Amino acid sequence: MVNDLNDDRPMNPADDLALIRQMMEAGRDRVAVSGVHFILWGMLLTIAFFVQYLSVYGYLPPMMVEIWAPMFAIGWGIEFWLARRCPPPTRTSNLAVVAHSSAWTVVGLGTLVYFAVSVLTKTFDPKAITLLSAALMGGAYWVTAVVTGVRWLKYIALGWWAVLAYATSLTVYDGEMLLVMAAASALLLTLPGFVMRRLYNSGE
Amino acid sequence: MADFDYRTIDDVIHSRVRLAIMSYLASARAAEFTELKKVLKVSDGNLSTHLKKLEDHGYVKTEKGFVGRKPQTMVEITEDGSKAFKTYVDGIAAMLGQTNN
Repeated sequence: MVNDLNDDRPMNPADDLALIRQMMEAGRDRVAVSGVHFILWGMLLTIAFFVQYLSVYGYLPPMMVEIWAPMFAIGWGIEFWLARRCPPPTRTSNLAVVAHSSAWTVVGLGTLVYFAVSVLTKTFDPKAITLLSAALMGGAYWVTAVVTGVRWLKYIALGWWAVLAYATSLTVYDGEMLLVMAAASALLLTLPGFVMRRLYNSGE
Repeated sequence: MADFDYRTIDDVIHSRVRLAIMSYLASARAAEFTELKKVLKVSDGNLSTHLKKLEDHGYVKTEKGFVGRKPQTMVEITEDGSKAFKTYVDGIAAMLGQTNN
């Protein structure tokens, strides 16, 4: 990324400013490249959607809360463990980290709150939670792409919004959509997570 | 044109490596040692030397810890470091203004 740093001769002001700009951009881009959270939630959601599909089609006993409550509990539990595992300085936030983490917190809490409230009030609508989660995930990916400068993440955002458009267009919302969501979670959450993890480990 | 005395340039920051470290940390706030090494493409020894100088002047602080079983050194910019970096950037911008004029 940076050349000739081992040559420590004094620079002229223009070179100084160019180096400052380049390094500040690199520092801003460092957020969101670890990909751990994407892998975690992508795998959990893929499994949960697939198990729900098996349940809906009679391969497993009828259940819903029994699938999703443990899924949320495991996900947030691991998130809590990951947060405690990192030394305090890694939790220091720049503007990009705040924007990125806020966007994804909205996804997690928004979906969780809708799920909990709708189940408790017996108004749960599978189409509504699909639309909500696809819209929020697309938005969160877009925010992450903008603040980090990782442009290809915008295509992942578009992917989620394509899922949103598809689900919206369905007149009959049946169990097959659970397979679509399982595939979307694998392709648009887990896979980008592994790519980001690889980029992070290679220092790019 | 802004008046600027080049003698007030902060020598602690005025080195390619240290300026790169401070610039990176100014936006990232904190980074792992290995991450800095990859981004700056410098050796362990070179980076350690420059970090020590910045730390001695209170511009950064380091914290050693473990992630799992893997040792990790975190480097974080301090409040004094942020102020010094801002002053440095303002100085360079002023100097560039003089040059252009």
